[in-house]
Amino acid sequence: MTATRSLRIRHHPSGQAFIIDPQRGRVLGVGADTPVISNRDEVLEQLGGVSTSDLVTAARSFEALWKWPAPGTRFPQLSQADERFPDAWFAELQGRLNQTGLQGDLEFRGYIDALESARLASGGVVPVERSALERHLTALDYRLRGKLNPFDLYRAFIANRLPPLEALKKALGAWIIFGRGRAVDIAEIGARRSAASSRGFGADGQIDVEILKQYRQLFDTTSSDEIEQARLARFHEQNFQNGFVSTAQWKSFFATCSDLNGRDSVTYAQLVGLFDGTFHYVAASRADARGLRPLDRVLPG
Amino acid sequence: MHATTRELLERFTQTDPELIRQLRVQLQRLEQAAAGDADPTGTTQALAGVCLFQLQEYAAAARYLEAACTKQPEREAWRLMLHKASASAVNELALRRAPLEPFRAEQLEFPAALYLREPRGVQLPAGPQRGEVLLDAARNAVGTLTRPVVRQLIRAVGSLGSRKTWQLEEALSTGVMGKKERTLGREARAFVADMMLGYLRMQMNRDTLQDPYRGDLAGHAPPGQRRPEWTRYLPTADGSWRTDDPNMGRAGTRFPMQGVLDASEFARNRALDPSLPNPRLVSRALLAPEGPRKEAPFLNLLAAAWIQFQVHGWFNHRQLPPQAGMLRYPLDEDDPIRLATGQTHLEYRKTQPDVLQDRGPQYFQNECTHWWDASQVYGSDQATEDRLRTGPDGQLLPDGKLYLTADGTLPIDPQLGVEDTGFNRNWWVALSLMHTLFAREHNYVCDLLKAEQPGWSSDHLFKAARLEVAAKMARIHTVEWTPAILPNRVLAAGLNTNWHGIMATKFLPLEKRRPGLWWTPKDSMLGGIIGAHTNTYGKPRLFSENFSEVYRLHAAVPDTLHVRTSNGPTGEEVSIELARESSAHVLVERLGLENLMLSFGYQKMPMLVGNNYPAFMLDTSTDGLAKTDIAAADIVRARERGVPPYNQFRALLGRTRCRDYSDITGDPVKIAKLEAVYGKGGIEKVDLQVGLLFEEGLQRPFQGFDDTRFAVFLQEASRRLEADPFFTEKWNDPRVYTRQMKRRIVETTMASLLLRHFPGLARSGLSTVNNAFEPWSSTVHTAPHEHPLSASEEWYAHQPGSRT
Repeated sequence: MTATRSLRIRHHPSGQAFIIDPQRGRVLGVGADTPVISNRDEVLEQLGGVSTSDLVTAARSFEALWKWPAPGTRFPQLSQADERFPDAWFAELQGRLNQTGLQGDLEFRGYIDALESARLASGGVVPVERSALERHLTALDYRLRGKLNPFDLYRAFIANRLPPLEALKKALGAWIIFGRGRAVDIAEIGARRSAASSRGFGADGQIDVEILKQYRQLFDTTSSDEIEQARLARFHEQNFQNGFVSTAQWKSFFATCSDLNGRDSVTYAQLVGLFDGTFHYVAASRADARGLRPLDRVLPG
Repeated sequence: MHATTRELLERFTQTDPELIRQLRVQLQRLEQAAAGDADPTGTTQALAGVCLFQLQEYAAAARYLEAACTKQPEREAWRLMLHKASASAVNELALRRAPLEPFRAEQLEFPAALYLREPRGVQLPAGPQRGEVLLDAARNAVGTLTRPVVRQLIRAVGSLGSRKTWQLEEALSTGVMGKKERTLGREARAFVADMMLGYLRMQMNRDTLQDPYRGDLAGHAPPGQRRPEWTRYLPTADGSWRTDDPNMGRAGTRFPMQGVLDASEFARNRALDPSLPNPRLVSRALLAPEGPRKEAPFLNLLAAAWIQFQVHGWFNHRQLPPQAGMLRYPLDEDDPIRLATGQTHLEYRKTQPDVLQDRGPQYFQNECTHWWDASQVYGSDQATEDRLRTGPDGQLLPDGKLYLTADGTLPIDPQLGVEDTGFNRNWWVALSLMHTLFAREHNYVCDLLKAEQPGWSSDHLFKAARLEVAAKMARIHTVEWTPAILPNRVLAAGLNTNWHGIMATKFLPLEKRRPGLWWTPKDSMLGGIIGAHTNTYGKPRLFSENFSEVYRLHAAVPDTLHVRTSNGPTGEEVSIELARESSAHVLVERLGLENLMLSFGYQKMPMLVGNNYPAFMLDTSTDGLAKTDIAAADIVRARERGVPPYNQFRALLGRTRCRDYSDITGDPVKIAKLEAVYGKGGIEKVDLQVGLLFEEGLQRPFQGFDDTRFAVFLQEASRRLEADPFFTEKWNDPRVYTRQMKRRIVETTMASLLLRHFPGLARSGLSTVNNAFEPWSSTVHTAPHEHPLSASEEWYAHQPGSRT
């Protein structure tokens, strides 16, 4: 799977978006304001001063370092902010990391899944950037199929550190509610859900900034950005009217947070991570008491 | 001119470059005046000497001070300054040290693999055979079935043993060495005490561990990193990828707080809290030695050397440069440092705070790896690891060896003037001995591995040898050093249980005990932590601030070393102040490693009690600080890093609070001293270190340690093994430890290690003791109280060649 993954990458200085297939060395690219991309956008030499070969080199080194990176992961580049303490090791590292001169400007924005690949191959277009809601689900699509069947959902809940029986119950529930008996299509999720139900995402599938502000105010009353789950639940009750689907989702979220935090609490980073999808990556990547991470169970190799 | 100089010296601070410039200008004037030798009082020379001293130019300072003392030999302050300047000059403290690099955010935020060099040519042996897998599964099944029963038993007996959790005195007093009669009642109480220890450990693991990253990956590492495959079988240079959480235990990760309350509720920087007594006052009143140093009768100086050596592999905080501001404490008018230098304040560098600070309590970073991976020998980063393996020709040495000079000593770092090794700060001769011993052991292991595994590459040999050496260290510490400092039958059995498990400890003599025997369940208590399942208790494996504070054992350092050779004592007394930094290797060259080992083996370790710090530590120079008080620093650091004062520290561990000073000590003299420093009813202000050293609660059964210190130790002694896959899950993997490696690890003792590299010690008292950390100057027959472990009838009853 690793060798065939195509990456969505954003070049920050120019705002250009790219899809890079590191194995085949193929690059698609569009300008800052273009929302979709297709095979017709292939970049042969360079786009807006960003060279194809540099992008491919950067993507290959990125893939060597990451197994299941979260969208938003920046390509490593050493800052040169602190020159008071020169060190040969860092100088060498800097040389390796900055070999294309591009790394610090690039940000990983997710993988292209199989459905998107097929769409591109058939001459269609895919969005250069997925919505926050789609990214939230993409985090669970370990096989990059673009849709989640009950088995995928079960694995996703295992990766979210739920016990097997609980994971099975949740998987079947999600399959019935969101897939209506069929695999959950990530690209279609926006159309299949009620925007009002979860509150965190707006109708466009993006994070509702106003809602997030309210959470921020709540966490500002703590000294460490960590809050008891009971208090957060009370806050929900007072401010939002969750449906049963949303209530069940919060319950799963709380269960995962309890496992991660070792107590019934939620941190602000976890709450934000739930909306932008990064929470799932952390849950799958943090080692359990035996020093093992769930990620390796659901994504071998 | 003199008045101006004195005024500058009074205002002296390292943080003010303008003042330092003015002092240099003034120094030039003084030097010009002194050149003419026109001042018959010597004051000009003395002032020039003091200026140079404060500018850390010690050799020049000593010359001027000597000239001044010639003119007025009766001036005690000058003589003291001359002594200090000469010592610092000899110790080459003025050598320019590379500034300590502050940690960079990138080090933790980037993939850990970037900072590692993949070992070349690794050819892993075959994995476990089918029979081994089946046996492991069977042991695991039995362990899974018996574990809940054992835990319940421990809970039941442990909690029955004492209604008040921490009142262990009664139960543990049954384990005091020297009581030989075995009665049913005593055995029952010892059993209860063992269960209580297990119960307390369980409670502490459940209630007091904290995660400084609050549910995130350790070091706030970005999730989803690809784990380099080789890290599953071989240790990394910086402690990364020891578990699947890439930064767990890696150098640069945080020290968590420990306690039943969240750190945000109690951890605060109290370094400059005006309601607390001046640390220098605490040091002078409660830590400074009074009369002859008190010595622990049953420990030799190797015990002190050992623990400092270990601590340097466990943790160290980095400090900020003076430009970041200093912590300043006023000096009393009669303070010897003030009288000698004129300076009115004592300064300390601030501890570097975590570069990735979140909202909430301030955390600090560990410069060393948090694992028991011998990082003091090999370093805590790839560059250091590679450098120590590099020969004079600039190439990595063959066969995975560390570079040693032709005479088998560590090379001297030309810039630092001390031995080049994994961790070489706070250096003194004890560390020269320990580091050389283990560097030699590494090369010895490389030779054996090379013969056993001719196909292994140099990198593979190095990594495997590092694993073996670290495991030997861990075993010596667990089953030798710790019982030596806590010579209590119950505790000794408990520590043996950590390594070998309850069943082997109960049913087998010492020499036949092995971790993970085939007939023991795979369970950390029944079969031993070694080879059992890894267990981090859901919190990242990191040394806590509490742990780093309780291992402040400066009181164990002597003032002088009594030199011995194989012919007996030479009568020479070497001041430890002149055995520090560069002087250490000079001493090694002059006296020889073997004679120094002898001297350490015969000399007793000072006791860890109040008013027993070595005198020189209260007025000394360290790297970057012309004048410092290490005892006061022990007070400053706990306050600065948010570690609670003594009474709160106890409460956070689940212990009862002291109501007043009399709960700490029954000695009215000590109570009066505490009252003089902290005021009437000032129990809540008592600094942690002071409380620990004055505590008498369990002094008798615990002997070497106070019991609050023991509480932290109790948990950590097992946790640092249990949370480490290389001591647990991977122990039985032949791709990690070959059969020969495991055999050597369990058979190596401190004595065998010493004899291997210093065979001449066979003719010394080392051959008459069962534990190399007991004094070599006596035997269990001539002085049983100096050999409490051996005096206990059961501990060494089955030891081959038992000398009891």
